[in-house]
Amino acid sequence: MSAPHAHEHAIAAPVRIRRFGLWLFLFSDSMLFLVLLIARFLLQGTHRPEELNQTLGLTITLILLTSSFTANRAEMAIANGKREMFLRNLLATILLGTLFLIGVVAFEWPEAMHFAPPSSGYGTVFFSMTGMHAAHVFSGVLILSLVYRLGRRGAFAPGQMWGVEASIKYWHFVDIVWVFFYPTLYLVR
Amino acid sequence: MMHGPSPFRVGVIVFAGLLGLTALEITAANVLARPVLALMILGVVKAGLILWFYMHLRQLWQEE
Repeated sequence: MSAPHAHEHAIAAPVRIRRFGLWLFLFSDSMLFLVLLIARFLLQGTHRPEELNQTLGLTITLILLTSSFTANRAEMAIANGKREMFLRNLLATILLGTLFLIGVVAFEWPEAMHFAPPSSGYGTVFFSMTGMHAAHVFSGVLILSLVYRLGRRGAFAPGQMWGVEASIKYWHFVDIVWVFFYPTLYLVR
Repeated sequence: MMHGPSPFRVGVIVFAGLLGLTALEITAANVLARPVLALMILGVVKAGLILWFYMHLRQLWQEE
């Protein structure tokens, strides 16, 4: 290996190792959600209450899908040196994530309390799944807010954006969980 | 050097695909008598799109 290549390898290796570590973490975290998903079918079969607010369920789903889109744009923007676009899209992602949380905690949960209290079978499943997911969304919003703050101070640049990459990968992971939770909670019958 | 469509354009196409698949999920839930399998398959496709295009899964086995 020539000297310049050896230098490049020395810089690149830690990022590859960090990336692999992040994927391992996401894989282990996904097992938690997989267990919740399986428990939903074991405990309740394909039963779902008719009172579930379908409009709200679809709305928060579209909000989270849109947040993944803006998160991707933020990552691509900083990778191409477009700082303003990066900050704008990251802020949009944070706001959409917050909106999702408000939709679940302030609107969906109070409604569900009436027809599926946590002590009932479906309530146990519903509040466990949405609660665990909401906790992940909350931590994602906090992490993205930290990245946004650092970005406003001039941190991150093309080739030096591990913090952005890691936080946005985590955000997409949270979105993937909802990709399965939405049909499992709102659509199966 | 970049090849193929810009990453921004890919992001838009994937987002449109995710919205379309969500519409398919709702249709399947309303049309099929037992939509569980169809919903799970559509979920896997949506997750695959996010994993491959938004989370860049292929980076795991690419050289830097």
